[in-house]
Amino acid sequence: MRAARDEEFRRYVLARRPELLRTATLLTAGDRHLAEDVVQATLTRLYLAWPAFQKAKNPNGYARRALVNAMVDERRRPWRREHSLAELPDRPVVDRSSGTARGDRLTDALGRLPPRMRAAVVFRYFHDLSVTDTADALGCSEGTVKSQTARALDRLRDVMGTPIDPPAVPVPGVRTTSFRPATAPATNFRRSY
Amino acid sequence: MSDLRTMLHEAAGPLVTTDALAVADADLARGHRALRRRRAARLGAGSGLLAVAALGAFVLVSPTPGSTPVPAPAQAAPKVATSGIALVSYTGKQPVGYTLDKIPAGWEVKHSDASLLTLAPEDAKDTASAPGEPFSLIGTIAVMSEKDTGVPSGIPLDKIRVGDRPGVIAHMKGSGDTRTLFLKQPSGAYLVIQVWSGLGWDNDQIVEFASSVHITKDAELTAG
Repeated sequence: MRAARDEEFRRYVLARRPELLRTATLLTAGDRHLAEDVVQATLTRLYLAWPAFQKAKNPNGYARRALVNAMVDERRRPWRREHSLAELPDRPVVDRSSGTARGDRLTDALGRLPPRMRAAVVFRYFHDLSVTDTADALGCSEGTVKSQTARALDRLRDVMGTPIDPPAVPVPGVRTTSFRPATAPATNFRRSY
Repeated sequence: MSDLRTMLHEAAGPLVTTDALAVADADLARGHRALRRRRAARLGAGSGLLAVAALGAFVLVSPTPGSTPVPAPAQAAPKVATSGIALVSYTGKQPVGYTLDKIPAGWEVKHSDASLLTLAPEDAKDTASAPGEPFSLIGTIAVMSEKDTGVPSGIPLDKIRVGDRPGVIAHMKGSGDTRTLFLKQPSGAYLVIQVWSGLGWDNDQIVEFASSVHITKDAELTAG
């Protein structure tokens, strides 16, 4: 029984962990250490609730809610709370580098949004979730999602000083994006040796 | 104008996991510890029940005097290794250029044309792109047929056999434990199967999958 649960869990982790970590990286505005902690906490919760998770009508939605809850809980931990320092550190405490200048600018701009407003942007425009699914992930009303995302886009435009296009609303059957990460081994079939 | 979705993908960083198996094992170990803690907490919450439970457990597990330990029943070795995603029979629509007997559990055919077949988790995003542009193969198994350009050199190669045919599995650089199987066909072309590192397969599992992939006349050769 437990062996089957363990195997299913490992399978899930192998398939889904990288995407969870990317989502958590955005939710934490590029704090990769916190993102890793959040993902670990999320997966532990999923393991504990594995029977319920398996029966969930929308396992991805279940995992997203677990991720958001884990992030909220992690931020509440005493050692995560912000505290004043007598002197400013001479280097960034957290490495938020994404690897691209544009990604770093967006990470910085995301960091200036309140956590739930940031989460609304991530679920709406990174995961292409509908307003309904985003509201489900965040445990709020659809109206809140709409107002939060609208305000978030305004703030991102202000902070980045550049116009930002919200992606077109996905229409079933119509591909609205062809984004491909630039990692060479991912796009070149066998030229990675 | 900047596309927010593209910028978010850049900010999220690459979809690459190093040593995915070890990371998954660590996640599993954390789950085990959390489960033990929860059970211990529940037991501790009812101290009266605890005594009864402990007594009951003692009676149940105590060996009868003079008895010998009962050996655990012998288990047949599983067909697939204990690591990685297990293979299951494929019952879906057969792709173009290839037929599949098995695919990883919970996966599906994501893209199929005469020159490229990709498999990915059922809930993974479609990685298709505009015609003529490359596909993202992150997190996928990719199958193609290549002209006789030979196997790569300068990287670790493991000799394997798929049925009665010799082949190699190459450990690709720069993408974790991504491995690519090259299997020469009677025509001189190669069946090439790239398995992204996150799948956690060892060579035996890659060979098992390769043995379930059959090239049809519709497959187109690529230059590699």
